[in-house]
Amino acid sequence: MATVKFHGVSKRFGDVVAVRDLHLVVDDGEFVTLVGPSGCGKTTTLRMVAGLEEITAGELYIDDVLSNDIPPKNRGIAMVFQSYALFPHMTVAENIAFGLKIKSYPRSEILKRIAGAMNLLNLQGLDARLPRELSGGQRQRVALARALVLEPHVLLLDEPLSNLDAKLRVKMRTELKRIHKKLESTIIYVTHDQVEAMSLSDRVAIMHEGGLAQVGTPLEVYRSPHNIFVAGFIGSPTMNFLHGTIIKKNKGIIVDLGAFQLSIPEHYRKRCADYLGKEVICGIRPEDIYDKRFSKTASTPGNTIDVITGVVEPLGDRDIVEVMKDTLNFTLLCEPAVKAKPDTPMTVVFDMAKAHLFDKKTERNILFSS
Amino acid sequence: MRKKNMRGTRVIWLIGIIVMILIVLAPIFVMFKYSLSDRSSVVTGGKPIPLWPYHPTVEQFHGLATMDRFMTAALISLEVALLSILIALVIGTPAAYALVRYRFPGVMVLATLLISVRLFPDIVSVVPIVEVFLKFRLVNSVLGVALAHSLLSIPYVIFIAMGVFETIPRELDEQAQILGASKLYSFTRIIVPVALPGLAAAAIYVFLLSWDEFIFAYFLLAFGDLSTLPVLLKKILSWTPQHNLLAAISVMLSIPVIIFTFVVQKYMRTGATAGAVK
Repeated sequence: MATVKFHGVSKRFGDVVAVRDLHLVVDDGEFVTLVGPSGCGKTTTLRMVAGLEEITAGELYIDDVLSNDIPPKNRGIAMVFQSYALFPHMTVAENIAFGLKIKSYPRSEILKRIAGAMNLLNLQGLDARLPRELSGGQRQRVALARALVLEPHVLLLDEPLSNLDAKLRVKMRTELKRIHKKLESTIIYVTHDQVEAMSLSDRVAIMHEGGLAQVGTPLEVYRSPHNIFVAGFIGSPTMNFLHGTIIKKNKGIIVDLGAFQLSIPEHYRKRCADYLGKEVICGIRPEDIYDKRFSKTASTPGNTIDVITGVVEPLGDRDIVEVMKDTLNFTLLCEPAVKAKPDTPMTVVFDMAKAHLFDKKTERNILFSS
Repeated sequence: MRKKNMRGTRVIWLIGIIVMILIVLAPIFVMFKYSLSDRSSVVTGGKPIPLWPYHPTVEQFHGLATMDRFMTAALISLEVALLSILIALVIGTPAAYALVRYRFPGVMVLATLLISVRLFPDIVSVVPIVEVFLKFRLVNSVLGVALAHSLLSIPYVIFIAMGVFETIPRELDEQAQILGASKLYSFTRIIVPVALPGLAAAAIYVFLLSWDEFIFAYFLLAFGDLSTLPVLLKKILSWTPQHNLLAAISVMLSIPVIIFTFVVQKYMRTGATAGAVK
């Protein structure tokens, strides 16, 4: 078991900055996911931990040992590649035993560990198969078994589920969580799939253009996004972003969106003093806007808007409804009981307690920007 | 009307293709025919030579099998070919791997220089090579010819092997490295086994090149008593032998070429890395 510390780690490929001044501490036994759109530097970060990519600047500590120049095999890590990278000419058992053989473990110990890993990952009876004779899910599990038998201090997973079909992906997600719980190993996981990141991790590190956009538990990044990027990246369907200006009205403070006005949530009031008359972006998740008839929250006056529905996308358990108010478009999630139909009037309620305000210039959450 | 036209074009194409195939196959047919001919079908005394021998016979091949000079030459050809394969692969394979995996500056210059040996006509490069080989006492020896042949084939080996290595995902190297393998270990235990079908194709290519190479073998062996098959053929030619004997030797020279060419084709199609990724 080990901790991984990034201290101002950067990676440049020629003139291109792939990772910029990364500060992050992964605790012992923690499951941390690096998530972000493609090209955000997440895989490069993982490869630097593995030792496959040289670190341009900064320090990387694995288990409190400065590891910048330690070769991959001496870092106490194991890695599962997106492509699995199974050795095609070796059987499942030979693949799993590969690392153990190099480290010259006794034969009995190798056999014991292979059996253990194969049990853990439900690979019994596949010992003598070649990779090409396995299904995608089986290959994935062999790759995982090959990494686990080494009992690594840190397990690195690079989009291990992205080559599986949707159903298998969900199953393996549960499986991974179970394995992590059982082994209590430190895991750094890379994915571009925010659902995967949210459901698996203890903490999520959202990366954007080579830097960290926010680190936190899945709930933290979901409920209190520090900037527009995180707010828009996490959650599906995406958060609504409405451009407006903060103004004083009567005795309260409101955000004027042009087509309508919304009262500013309680916890934002204090910070908004600096933003009076300034342009902001109001972010609110589709599930925090309700059809008035079904609203459970007491509606604050002024946060109830008459709209016209547009496209309705039924998901089964919920409907994604696009609505319009004058020139403003936004989406809400409705229960099927709402029976939303296209092109009909509807009255919606904004749960402003859950809304966010972002500085238009810095794109940072007003609550967290200093 | 249009349909008829299309049919007409098709027939013309077909005839054209058949004619071309006949032109290509004609010398091969003549060679096989002569090799199976009896004396009366070759020396006809002014009458046209028959399309198929009057009395087909394998007498010439039988003669070759009992002809010491031929059997010795065949053996030497085989030795030279196998030794060439060994040298060319031992040098060419790691070179190709380095060229593919390590992108150091000047890679393309180096790769181009490698084929420069073959930019000159063989008859031009043979002179300096014989000159150098004379100094190192490599003339009139199996090793000398094998070295010359590997010199000719290494560029091909490198290019075939580079193609093979490029299809092997880099992740295999990286995974081996993470699991604790040294560069040499992962090259010999992972990369080479995975590349084997492609490398076999390269080996066969070297064999074919060496087996029917004449100029270098002739200049390196002509003044001694060793002969490879092509050199022997030339020596026999010089005392105007029967056509059917020459044809039989030619057939013996061609058979491995024909067989191996088919084998190579098959290897080229095998997916070397099936199951490695995804």
